[in-house]
This record gives sequence, structure tokens and C-alpha cells, in this order.
Amino acid sequence: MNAEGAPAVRRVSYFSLVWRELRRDRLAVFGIWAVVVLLVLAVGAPLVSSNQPFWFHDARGWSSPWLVGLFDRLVFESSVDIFYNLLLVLLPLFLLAYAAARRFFGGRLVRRRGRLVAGCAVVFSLQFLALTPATIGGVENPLHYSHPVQNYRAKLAADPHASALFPLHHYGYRETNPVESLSPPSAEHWLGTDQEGRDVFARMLYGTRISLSIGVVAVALYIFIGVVVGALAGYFGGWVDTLLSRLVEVMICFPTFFLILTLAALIRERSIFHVMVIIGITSWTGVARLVRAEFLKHKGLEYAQAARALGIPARRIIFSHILPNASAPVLVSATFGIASSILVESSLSFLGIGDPNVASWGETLNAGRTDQRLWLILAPGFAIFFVVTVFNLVGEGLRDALDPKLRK
Amino acid sequence: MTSVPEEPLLRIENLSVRFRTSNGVVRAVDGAGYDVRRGETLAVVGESGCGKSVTAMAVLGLLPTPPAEVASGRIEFEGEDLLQASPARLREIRGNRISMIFQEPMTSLNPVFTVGDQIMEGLRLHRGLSREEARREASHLLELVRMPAPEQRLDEYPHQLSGGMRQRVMIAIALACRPRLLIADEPTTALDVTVQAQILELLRELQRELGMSIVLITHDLGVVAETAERVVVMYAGTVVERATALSLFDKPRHPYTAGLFLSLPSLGAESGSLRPIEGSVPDAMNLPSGCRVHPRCPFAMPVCSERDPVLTRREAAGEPPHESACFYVDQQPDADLVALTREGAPP
Repeated sequence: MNAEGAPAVRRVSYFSLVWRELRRDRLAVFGIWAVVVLLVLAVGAPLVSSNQPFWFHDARGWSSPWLVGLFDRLVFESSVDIFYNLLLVLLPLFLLAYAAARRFFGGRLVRRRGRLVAGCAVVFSLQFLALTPATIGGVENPLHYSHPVQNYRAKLAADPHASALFPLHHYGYRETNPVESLSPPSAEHWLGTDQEGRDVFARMLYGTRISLSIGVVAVALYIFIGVVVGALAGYFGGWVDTLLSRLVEVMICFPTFFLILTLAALIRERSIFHVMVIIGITSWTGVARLVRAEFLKHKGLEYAQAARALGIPARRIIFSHILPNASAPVLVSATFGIASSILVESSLSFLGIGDPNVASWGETLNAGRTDQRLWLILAPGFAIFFVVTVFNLVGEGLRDALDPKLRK
Repeated sequence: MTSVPEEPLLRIENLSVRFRTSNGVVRAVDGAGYDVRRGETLAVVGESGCGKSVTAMAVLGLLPTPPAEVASGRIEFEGEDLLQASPARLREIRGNRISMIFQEPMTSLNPVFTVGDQIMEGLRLHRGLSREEARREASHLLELVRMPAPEQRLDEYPHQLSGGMRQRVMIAIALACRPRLLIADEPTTALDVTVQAQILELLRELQRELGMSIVLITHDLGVVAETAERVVVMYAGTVVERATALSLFDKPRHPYTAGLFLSLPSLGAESGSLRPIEGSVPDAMNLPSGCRVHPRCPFAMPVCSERDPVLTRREAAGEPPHESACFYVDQQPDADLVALTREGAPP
């Protein structure tokens, strides 16, 4: 090849331009860092707060209740927690393997990075699907409800020969303790406890997982619906457009929040996934209209015409030629969408129609309202405010960075 | 000159395209037709909106069909009627046997893909090459269009290239499957003059190397003189003159063509001799009756607004065919239209 003497090509892609622009916006950079911190907190929550010690030693020998507890449905009931716990265990392994492989294979690996990440995601999803259900093909999942939950703090106090290493804050978010009901913040319970004696700090921490998942999953769902509907309507026009646009208009006529309330009330055994789906299927209209408008603009542009002149099938033109070009406004609306989905979930939990089994901030806020305790209002209130603000900052930064008119 | 009548590569006959808009029916192309022979360059000349691009789009079946509609006509490519072809069949032909390059190299390339990916797409789609084979072939194609450092360009994005280079990439994409026919819709209009010359030269060389036919759509008579063997002049959806380039430039047989020549600056001509054609292109929704040129024609006669002129052969025996549609020329076959128009003294 003629690689010799040729200067290295600098691939200045569109998104690296946007990234350069985004980095100038201090608030957006702060927002991005805050989101990263939130993600780290969500994944690493058990490292900070858990009632299972990392290791425990007594007359019967060593054990690691923390590690076993990560996948124990009595310690972590929600599948959301299982997802993040799996991530906590596997992410370091993936990263280590990547670093090692990069050492040996170098550039070849970097070129295949995309495929590698996709592969890891598939492996991860399969493991998650294997871990989550109680039975797999009729066979009982050995990891499901593995151990009866023991109070290791009590065991440690009772046995003078035992030793244990606890996380920094040794309370779980589901652990109830009627004796310490509604106790104010203290060295033991950093943010106090609620009506059932559950630790508010732990609930705030694990609530990050719920909020981020709600945001990402609900938005992913409604972006998907909105993009498909909008792309088909915008690209094909004619009766397809008429039909889909009227559908969107009918959807817009419903007051979204009341629709969500009604749908949520209709489901008897609500889980957090129901809430995600409900938010997802009620909020896609804005994205659909946005994408339709983008497609109306892009389908007439010369590159789309050139693609048609090349004999490329419509499906490919829509999804791999036009969609990437139309994705900038979708990205911005997704970022704002995460913030608003989090807010909607909190509102649902506040009204008592969320998932009662997860540590939702809205639920704690509701407890603060009924029990009239300041710490029960301030902590989740601030958490919700912070996350929503942070995502809005990122969204605004993205919007400005993607706007070529504002580019310096 | 070949005297043996051979089957043309592309034959467009009596094509009419209408656009149904909310304000009425626009007759964008009205009974136009031309032949493209194997290996030749045919120039289609005319002002904006004369239907030259619409005709080309109709060949590829690219007209947006809710507003546009092919009312009549026949488009025959290698003996196959393209107007009757199924969408799947058209997709097979497009980019494979007939390719098109567009006016705006700045916007005809997809900004989110690398140059290599865009060239490889057609290769993989139509010729079923693997990724590695397609990449090798793409690199060859960039070499073919005289792109410096082709291997590196493959990994660059369109915005990293200049206008001329982008047009070269467009040509490489169009030539990827070695088409029999290349439709170039104003390929040099958006480029600098020096780059224009390079691109035209490149097209000429590639035509010789690959033996394809080119339909060059342009409003630039300079480009026509440099590249085309035969010329079709269109006005308001109709063909007004059809001739070899030599014969057309030597002696135009239609007042509109004569007017086009006079509106061009030329070296050596006296200053102030530039003469625009009076008036403007008629509104395609509201075409004049009879000959469409007559409101702007210095030679207009009463009959011109009453009846449609037909394309009539004008060449002397032994000369290549030269047709035009004009009542004045019917009467005065030997009139020097250019001189008469310049003097501004129509009889």
C-alpha cells in the first residue's frame, strides 16, 4: 500500500466538531460531568451503601455476602438493580480485557471498536436475561432468592470473634426498621429515615438508578416510535403522511399526563418497566413531528436524490442516509426528554401510582408530604431538581453546539 | 460521420411530463424527444425550467410521482421501455447501467459518510463485492478520476474536500459500476472556471476509456462547444433544435439558438455586442399558444402564435442531420439568423 510517507489522515467527523463546540460551553461541560458522576453513583451504589459486608469472618469461616447479595432478589428486588449490579461486576472485567487486548493487538482493535462494544453489549444482555427471571425454561434459577437475608450488623455485634468490612454506609434501601421510624439525620442515618425506618440516603442513592433508567429507557422507546413514524411520514408523503400525521394529531389532543395517569391506574401490578413503557408510548408525538419535518427537508436535498439515482432501496436511504443527517435535533430532544421523563416518573410515584418496590425519589417526597418531615422533602426534592437541571443543561449545550449559526 | 443507422442506446420519444400543483397543471415537458447513441456525448441546452433536467429525471424514474406524472411518451434504453419497468428493475438499472451526477458537488455527497463508504455502497449493492474488494475497487476508481492520494481520501469526509475534488468523487461514484450511460446534470456549473475545464477534460477522457455515452445537461454553450458531438436545444418543455455541435455552431437554424449565441461574450467580438434575449421564459402553467418562443422572437409572424411548428430537417444532402422547429426558417431556409438578430432588423 502507499501508507509510506503519507501523512496520517485526521478524521474530523461531524460529532468531533460538535464535541469541540460543546466543550466551550461551561454549563454544558458541568452538566456532562454531573451526568457522568450520576452514572458512576448509579452503577457503584452498592459500593457506597449496602447492609451486606464485603467480607464477613466468624467461626464458620470467610464469606462475601456483598457479592452474593448483588444478585439476590431478597436484597435487590428490582430488575433495574440486577442490571446495574451486573454492570458493576462486568464493566471492570470488560475494561480490563479491552486494555489487555489493546496492548497485544493495537490499532487493529481500535478499528473494530464498534463491533467489540456491540459484542460486549450482547453478552451483557444475555447474562442479564439469564439472571433476571426466577426460572429459566422451567428450571429454578439458582441465583434467584439464593440466601435468606441476614442482618450482618447484628451478627457482628453479637459475636465478639466475628469481623467484617462494610461499605461506607451500611444500610440497604429496602431494609425496614420500625424502631428507627422517622429519625432525623444523624451519623448513622445520614439523611434520616422514613416512616418504615428505611434509610433515606440509601434510597436517594439507589433512586439514581431508577431515575436514569426511566429516563434512558422511556426516551429510547419513544425516540424509536417517533423516528419510525416521522421518517415514514416525511419520506413517503402522500397518504402515508396523511394517515400518520392525523394519528400524531389525535395523540397530541390527549393531555399526556392524564393519559399516563389513566394508563398507570389501569395496570394492577405496576412495575417500573410498566412506567417506562407508559411514558414511552405516550410521549413520542413531538419526536415524530420533528423527524417528519427533518425528512421533508432532507428528502429533497441532492444527496438523497443522488442516493436514489444510485438505485439504493428506500429503506436504506431512510435509515442509513437521511436519518444520521436528521439526528441532531432528535439528540437534543432526547436529552430534554430524559429530564422530563424523570420528572413524570417522580410525579407518578409522588401520586402513589409508581412502582412501590423501587426506591423512587417521588415516593420519598410523597412520604415527606404525608409525614411532614423536612429531610424527607429536601433530599428527594434536591435530587430531582439536580438531575432535571443537569440534563437540561446538557440539552441546551447540545442544541447550541449543533446549531451551525451559533458556531464560532 | 457514420452513415449506418444504428440502434441508439437511449431513445426518448414524445415525452410529456406534467406536475399537478394546487394552482394548476404545469406542463414541464411537452412532447420532447432525443436519441443518445453509443459512445457519444449529447448536450441538452436550455434556460432554467425548460424541462431538460425533468427529462433526465424521467429517464431514471426519479420524478416525485404524486405531483409529477408522465402523460405520454416512451423512454427506451437498450431496447427496454423504462416507463413500463417495475420499481425494482429501475433500482437495478440506476447507478448500475445509467448513472447521474448532479450540479452541486457541495451537497450531493452525504456529509455523514466517508468518501470511501459512499463509493463502496454502489459497488456492494450492484456488483455484490465484499468490503475488502469494494475498498480496493473504490481506490481504483479514485485513481481513475485522477484524485491525488486516493487511499487516504477513502477515509476522509466530504467537507474535507474542495468542490472540484467532490465532483471527482461524485463521478467516481457514478462510474463505479461502469454504466453505459452517464447523465451529467450541470456538472460544472457550481465550480470555478479552471476546475470546470479539468472536470470536462476528465469526463472526455473517461468517456474514451470506458466507451460510455454521456448526456450533458447544461445552459453553458461554452461547455457544449468543448465537449458535445450533438446538441439538443430545449425551450419551455419542447425541443426547438437538434443538430451536430459543428453544424449548430456553424449555422443555427432556430432564432432562439441564434439568440443564445448572441447573449454569450466572445473574445474578439466588438464591445457592446452582447445582446440578451428579450423577455423571459414563459410560465409553464400558462404557455403561449403556437410556437412557445414567439413572444420573444424577433422573427415572429402571425402564424407563430396560431400553430405549433414541427421539427423539420434542414441539412443539405450529404450533411449530418440538423432539425429545427420554426416557421420563419421554413420560409427562409438559408437566412443567417445570427447576423439578422444582431442587426436587430427583423424583416
